Amino acid sequence: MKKIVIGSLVLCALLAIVLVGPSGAQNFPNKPINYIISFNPGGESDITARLQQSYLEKALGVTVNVTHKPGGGGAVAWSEFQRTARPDGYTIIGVNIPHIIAQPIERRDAGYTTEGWELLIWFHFTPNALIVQKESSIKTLEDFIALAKSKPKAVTVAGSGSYSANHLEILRFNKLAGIDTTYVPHTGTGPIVPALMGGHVTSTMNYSMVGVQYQDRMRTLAVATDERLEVLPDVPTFKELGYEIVGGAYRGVAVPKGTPPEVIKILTDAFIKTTEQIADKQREMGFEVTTVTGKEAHELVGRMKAGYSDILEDLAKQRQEQ
Amino acid sequence: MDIFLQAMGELTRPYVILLIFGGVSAGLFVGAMPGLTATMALAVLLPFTFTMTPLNGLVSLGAVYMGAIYGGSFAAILVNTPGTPSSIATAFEGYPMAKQGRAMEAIGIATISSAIGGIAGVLFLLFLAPPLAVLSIRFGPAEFFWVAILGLTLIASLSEGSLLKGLLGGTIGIMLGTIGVSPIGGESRFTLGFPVMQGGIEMIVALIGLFVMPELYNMAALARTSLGAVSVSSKEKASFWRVTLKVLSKPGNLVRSCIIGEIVAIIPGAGGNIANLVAYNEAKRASKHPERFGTGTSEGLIATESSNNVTVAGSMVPLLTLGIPGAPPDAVILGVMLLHGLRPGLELFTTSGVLTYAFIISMGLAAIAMVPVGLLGGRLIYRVIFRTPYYFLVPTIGLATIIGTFALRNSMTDVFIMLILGTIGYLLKQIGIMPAPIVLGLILGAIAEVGYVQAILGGMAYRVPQVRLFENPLSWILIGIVVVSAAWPFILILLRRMRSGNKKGGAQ
Amino acid sequence: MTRNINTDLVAGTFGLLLSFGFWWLLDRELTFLSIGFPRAMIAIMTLVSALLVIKAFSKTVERTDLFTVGSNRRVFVTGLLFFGWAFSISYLGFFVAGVLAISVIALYLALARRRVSVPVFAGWVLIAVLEVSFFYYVFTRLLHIPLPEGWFF
Repeated sequence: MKKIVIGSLVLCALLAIVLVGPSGAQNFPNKPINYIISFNPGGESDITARLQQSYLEKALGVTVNVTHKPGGGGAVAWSEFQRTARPDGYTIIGVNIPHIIAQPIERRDAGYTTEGWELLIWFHFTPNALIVQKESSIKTLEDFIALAKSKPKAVTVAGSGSYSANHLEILRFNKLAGIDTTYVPHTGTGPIVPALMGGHVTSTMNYSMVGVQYQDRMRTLAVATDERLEVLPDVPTFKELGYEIVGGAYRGVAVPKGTPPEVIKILTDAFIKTTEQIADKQREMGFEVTTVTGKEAHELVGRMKAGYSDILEDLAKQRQEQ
Repeated sequence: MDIFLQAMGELTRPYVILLIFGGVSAGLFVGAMPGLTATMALAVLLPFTFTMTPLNGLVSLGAVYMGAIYGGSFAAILVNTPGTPSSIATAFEGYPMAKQGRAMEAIGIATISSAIGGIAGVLFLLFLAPPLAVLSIRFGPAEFFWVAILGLTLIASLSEGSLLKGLLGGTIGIMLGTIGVSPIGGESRFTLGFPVMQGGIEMIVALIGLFVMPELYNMAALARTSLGAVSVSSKEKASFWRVTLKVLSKPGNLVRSCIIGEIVAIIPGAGGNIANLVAYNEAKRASKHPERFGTGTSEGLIATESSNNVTVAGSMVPLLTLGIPGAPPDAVILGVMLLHGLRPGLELFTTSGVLTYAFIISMGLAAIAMVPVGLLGGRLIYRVIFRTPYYFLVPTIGLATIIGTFALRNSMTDVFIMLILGTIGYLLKQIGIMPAPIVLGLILGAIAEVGYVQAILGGMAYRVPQVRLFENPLSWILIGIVVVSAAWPFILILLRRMRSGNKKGGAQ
Repeated sequence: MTRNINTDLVAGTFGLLLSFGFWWLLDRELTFLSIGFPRAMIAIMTLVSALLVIKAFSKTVERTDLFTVGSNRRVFVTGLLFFGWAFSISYLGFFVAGVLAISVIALYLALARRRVSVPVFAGWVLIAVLEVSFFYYVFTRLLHIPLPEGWFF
């Protein structure tokens, strides 16, 4: 009888050591890390994560598993992450601006908050750009504005998603230029390309990447950056032409609130290193590489939120009037 | 011409041949497993292609894709559950054949038809890419709307039994599709306050639930499987030569189904899912004995399996020429191409010409490879399933479906949705509401909504925005087809009455 | 239930209830972009259901014997077992839950037709372990898709 009791106690002790022991922060990381992408495989968030994967693995010394949890424009994964992810650094998630700003405001059941996590880094930025077909009669931004003024609501602007970077940007531009264009949401960047090429929409406010990729069939009227893009040297910025429009989609990574600072530092450093190493490839694909980390990352979110606040208020008012 | 020869040269390397056979086998396995789909297989293969050369990577993806679309027929024939959405209609004819002990024959027909379809798709891609690409971008929101409506009229002719019940099933499917965030507008609908419901009901989850679970429940109820033992005469009929002759003996059916497959393939976003249903419907209409459809006709089987394999290469027409994915798995292939610096467009066929043509031709080889792999594998799979007692079959298929459903979006919620829909589906089947219309509604409802709303937005400057739905000549053609398709059952009745009227007249 | 049931009536009533349910749950605050389509579809569903109910009282009514195939109790229990399986995955982890569920379901279904002795059952548990191991290995090691873990692993 005694033997059984002692034996079970020893077994419990061993189990406790085995189960609890090695997960201490001292030797982070020592098991695979789960990098969640809240969008479908094959999309831009996914391709970027796969690019980062091998460099992250080298920097961290463990396997990094990229898993997908699409749904609700990212909201499904983000809400579950804030609810259930353990703050031990082994689960990280890709985040996007302006989604994480706009969704909690626009939807009652988004299930997460803009500030409900620790932001590690914003690693790249795709600026918005206004693009038309090469064959279109619209040659410059001024042409576009003139056309829009002469035919209210007739000029259609395709964009990816609702309350997304594309959508909010064109609303801002409408206001600044005093025009009335019709925004036509599409389920992603993919469907926009045939829509524009087939002439089913007049133009698109999409990402500069698309302008770069389809240069021979599309004309980029303007980009929403501070300075002209290297990959599109002949394309003016909205700013140059007198419209204070700078914006686009940022992609970054977050960990749950309460993750130990040492773990955050290790992960952030790994991402900084990775970002530098893939910078050239990213620029080729049309992204602007950034390394906004820690406190600045939170400040960026605050700035973007403030920048979009008047548009978001307008939208809220519109809905109430309905 | 020498680009072709060079491309063919690339493909004679033993490693490439190995990749093709391996890819087809892996794809076959994935497709045959209810719960795993072609898109999933490609997404999973994606990281492995990073370590391969661009050609090897693309060849692998193409082979897996081709094999998976073909593999879906196995589950459809043997267990009455489409292995991939491209084989929904295969079950209509294949499963009755299996119950009659003609499973090997069905597998044989499916194999040869799939191979021919795959090759046809490659030929379309090789020789007709430019004009087809131009046609592809003519499809705008209004056209998508009418295509979806056309798909929904198929419910009318595909309903085994009551038309009204079929329509009810279709609307149930459509409403299930509205759960979640609205595609245009980004607002949550019917989520009951649960954040996870923003993701809505994924089509594959519903497909698995509504088709697989009732079969499992059925097996549990009967305490046996429904597979009939293969008789000697049926084994003879399943020989390679007999099957090939049978498939080729109805060239009209084959040609029509392949053309339908190609046309559906170039519509961005549609794919094998819709192609097999349209081809099946047309085969039924053109047949001299439409009443036999649903009892195990080879015509129906040939139509579905050839058309869905056409879409593999066929849907790459807009992809390679314009960078527009014609079907969901193409998005993954596009990602791989961009990663290797291959931009769709003219330069793909000139500067990278050898690579591109080699890739295209490799898919043709994959189609041919499906024949030995499929016939051998088919025999094997059939024997395994036939020998497995029902009490193991049920939990094992359950295991595959639970894993497959979970792996789709890393979501246990999806697993529960699958089980709930499955149970409801079983009950609905009892009262005559079948799963196929529900799944069709789910797929097409979203396309119809997006098309409708986008078209309206395009017409905001008009007094009546709805006019936008009728502007394009392409829309008129589609509307015409819709009207004929919807009215067909009634036209048939009219024709029959006229014929019997004439007979009476003649007798006088 | 082996009574002869008017399936048109049942289907139609179900459809009407469902239409009402969706109509009630439809958020009135949605913008026109998101509300138009569901509203139209609910209307169509109501129409079709109403037609079915009308048909239920007409000459062309469909009546079938429901739930006459095999044992309904087995269906019910199998359903419970599947749901139980799904629930237990988050506690026991995919592997353990899978082995347990396959063994139990196989045992339950087999008992309908044959005797199962202990050594035979032990053999089945082994088969279950092999099956689950195969999928586990393929998905977690080869494909890098993590499967849910529970108390054990």
